[in-house]
Amino acid sequence: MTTLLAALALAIVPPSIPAPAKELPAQVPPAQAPSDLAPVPATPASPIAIVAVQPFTIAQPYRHRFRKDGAEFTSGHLLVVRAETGFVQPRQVAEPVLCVGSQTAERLWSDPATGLIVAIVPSWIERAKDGTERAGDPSTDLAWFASPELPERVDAAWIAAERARAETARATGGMRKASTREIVRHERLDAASQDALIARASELLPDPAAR
Amino acid sequence: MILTQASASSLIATALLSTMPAFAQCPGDLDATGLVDGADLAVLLGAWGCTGACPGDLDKDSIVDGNDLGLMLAAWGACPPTTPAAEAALAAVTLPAWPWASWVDTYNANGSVGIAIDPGQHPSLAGRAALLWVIDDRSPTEWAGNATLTDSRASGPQSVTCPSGTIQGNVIALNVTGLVAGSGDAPARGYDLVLDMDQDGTLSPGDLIDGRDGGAGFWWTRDLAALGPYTTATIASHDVNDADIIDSMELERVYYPTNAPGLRPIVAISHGNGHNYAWYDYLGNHLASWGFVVMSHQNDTIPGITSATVTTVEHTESFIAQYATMGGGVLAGKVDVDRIAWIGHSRGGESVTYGYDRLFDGTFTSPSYGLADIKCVIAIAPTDFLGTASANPHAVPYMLLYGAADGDVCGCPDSDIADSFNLYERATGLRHSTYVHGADHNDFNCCGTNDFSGPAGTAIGTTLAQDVAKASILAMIRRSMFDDRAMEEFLWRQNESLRAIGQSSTVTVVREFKPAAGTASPIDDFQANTATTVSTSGGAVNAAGITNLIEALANDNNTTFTWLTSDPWNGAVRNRTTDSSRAGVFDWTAAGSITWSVPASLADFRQARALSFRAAQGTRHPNTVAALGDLDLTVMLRDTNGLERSIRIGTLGGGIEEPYQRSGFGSGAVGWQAEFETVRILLSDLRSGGGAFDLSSIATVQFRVGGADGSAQGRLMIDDLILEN
Repeated sequence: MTTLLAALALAIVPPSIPAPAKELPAQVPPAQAPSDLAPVPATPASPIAIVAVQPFTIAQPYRHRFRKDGAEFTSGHLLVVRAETGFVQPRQVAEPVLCVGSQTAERLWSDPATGLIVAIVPSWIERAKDGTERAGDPSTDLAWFASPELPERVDAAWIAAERARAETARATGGMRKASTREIVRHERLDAASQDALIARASELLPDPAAR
Repeated sequence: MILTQASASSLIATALLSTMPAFAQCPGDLDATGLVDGADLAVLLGAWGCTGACPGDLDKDSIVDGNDLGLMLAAWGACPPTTPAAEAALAAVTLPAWPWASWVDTYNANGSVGIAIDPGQHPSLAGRAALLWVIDDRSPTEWAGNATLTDSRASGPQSVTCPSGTIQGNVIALNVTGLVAGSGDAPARGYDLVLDMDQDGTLSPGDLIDGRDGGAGFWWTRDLAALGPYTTATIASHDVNDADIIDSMELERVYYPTNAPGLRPIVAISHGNGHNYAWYDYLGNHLASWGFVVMSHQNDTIPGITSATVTTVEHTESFIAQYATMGGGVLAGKVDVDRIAWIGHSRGGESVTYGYDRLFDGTFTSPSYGLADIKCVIAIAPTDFLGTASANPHAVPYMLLYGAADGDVCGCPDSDIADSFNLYERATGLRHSTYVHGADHNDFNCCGTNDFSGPAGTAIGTTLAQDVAKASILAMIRRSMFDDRAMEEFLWRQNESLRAIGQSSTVTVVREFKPAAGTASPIDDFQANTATTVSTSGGAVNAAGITNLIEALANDNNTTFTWLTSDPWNGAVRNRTTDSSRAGVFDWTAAGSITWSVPASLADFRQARALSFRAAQGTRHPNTVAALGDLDLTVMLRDTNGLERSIRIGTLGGGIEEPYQRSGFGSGAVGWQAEFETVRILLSDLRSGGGAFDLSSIATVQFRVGGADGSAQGRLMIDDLILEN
């Protein structure tokens, strides 16, 4: 056996293991490539336009998850707005919170290509300085992007503070009102469930592929 | 020779005794070279007439005389082996400088394996012929029961001649023809190596074996970036219809192996904000092909992390409850519900981390699974909304995958929310990070916005980034879920030294690795004894020739990456003020050093596998900018006898990577967040060349910088100088 193995003997040869390469120093820093992800725009800021509004009722109560103190609701509005790309592109860090009146909106879909955002706005009550109350209406009441934050962490006090900032900005010319020229007001939807509500909301998005 | 000055010879003999090794296994081999030769005779004659405890008193009659000479002459020549075959590291890669070889264990199947029989450590073998056997990995018990050598190669054992002189240039190429990589689910197949000195085809005294005492001699590894051994199928969309999950978030996509035997572990994927559960086909198919059942679910990220965490934990529960019936029952009886890995991306990366925290805290419990079932958590560029207490991996094996060109969770200095490494620093278990230059946030899914933010021309694109992701995630899951040691080297070796076969050599990857607390002994991790003159372990720390040494919380304290002396931790976006991960930092423009005195309780390095530390270059510091490139330094160990061993870290495959050359958050010089990189020095490598250097009694560990010891100037953050057991 030893003889046979000796015949198969291999000479000692350097193994073909490449020596680990040391990296070359970087060259002069090249120009930076711009990101397609737009910067977060300054807030408060209005959407460019209110595109569509549809009041709804829902038979099964639905908990509003887009504020810390969100309660179950059975009515509200489906809302479509057009906004600057920076408000529409989803991002991982905090996004400007879309608010309407004294309520936060639940973003369902955002389509950066068209600038459209489809949202659910639970009903709220607007109280005038004289104490009178009326139901809030996204087509007429203040809609704006508030400071970047996680919606699940904001509460009534936060919304009120942001609204005060927005109203000041609007009064001083720092924030214009969203256009309502192209608004489409849909008939009230009486949905049986959350699924039905969301199914209808999807029809408000011109390009379903963007969902 | 007749010695008349007995007293003098006795003194000489005593001195010799104090410096010479024992020779019990080979009488007459007084200098323990494995040979009885003239050197031994000289010792014996030098002690001639010596009485008492003398070298050369072979018959133990307390006098060195003719009887001892007779015994020596009878034993003249090579010592007959009287000890069992010795465990010795053989498989190695060559290095371009001392120690000339590194006795690592993992090798890619498209490469080669070196056999480093170090003449310095095995002088008795120099010049001798032997047979080199490659045997399918056997356990210690199997070796005890079967010493017969059976070569795994059709060509049989390889005839070799053990080198003489030095190991430099004398590493032997193993004939790898016929070796099979991978074994079932495992990407690597283990082999033991036997150097059969007497060429008798059995493991016998005098032989060397690499791989008997645990683990394999070496691992022969398939391409981790390529599909695994199983065919896969997909359940494109399954509605769990779970009352605990809102209606709009109930869909899952499931990837599974169709021909894998036994129960298959679960991997759950939680996507990020604005992402989609169907965007991770690349990862789902990859892991399924390696034997995992992968479930990617809709994740309720828009409200925030708390809502996303609900979908993570509830989808995991729903999947366990429903897998047996989904897809027509294709998974019935095939899922291992006691082995779960969570992978999350961006907000989903935080949600899987918070999900583990909720299991840890007991604020979420499930009838289907618990804390012990989560074997690892992998976060891809996670956010840090919740902070120290909640975005906390605790002791779960934790991996962070991150692209240096992330334009979303950017690692920016102005927001803790965007600082993914905060979560990594909180992990106390085994942890690993893979930091990929030129990759952006959405390179790790199929379809997100191109958020690339970095130097033009450095974008690596989705395919290359996902190759890195596939390989490193597979390695991490295998290591943490199955204790697959073959995978560990993919988590800590310099990328220049080891990367998946299919991973592009043009991609720069920076790796961190730290074993779980309790499996390592810190010499200095900067967490206690906060003066710069005292280490964590209580030893003195002495700095010479370096400047601006401080230790503190590694936290960039302002909103710019511009270098300012008021922000010594510039670039260290790794802690909130409520976190606790401390480190050290210093700079130099001339030769200098930091020396750690090793306390007696840690001085015996023999049982440790490695000495490791991590380091990062200082972002935009003038010294970093002036010498832009991998930063090199020398690590020197000195034993209590004053003998030294030094290794240049660049020898191991590159030094400490320079920061990715990204601009923003300041003007002038560029460079992004601190890129900590682990340097792991195998203590076996420090034995190279043999000699009397004593690993059992280490007095100091020293970092030497500048001058002849490495980069001429630099600024370095350092941490976790530890002995790994």
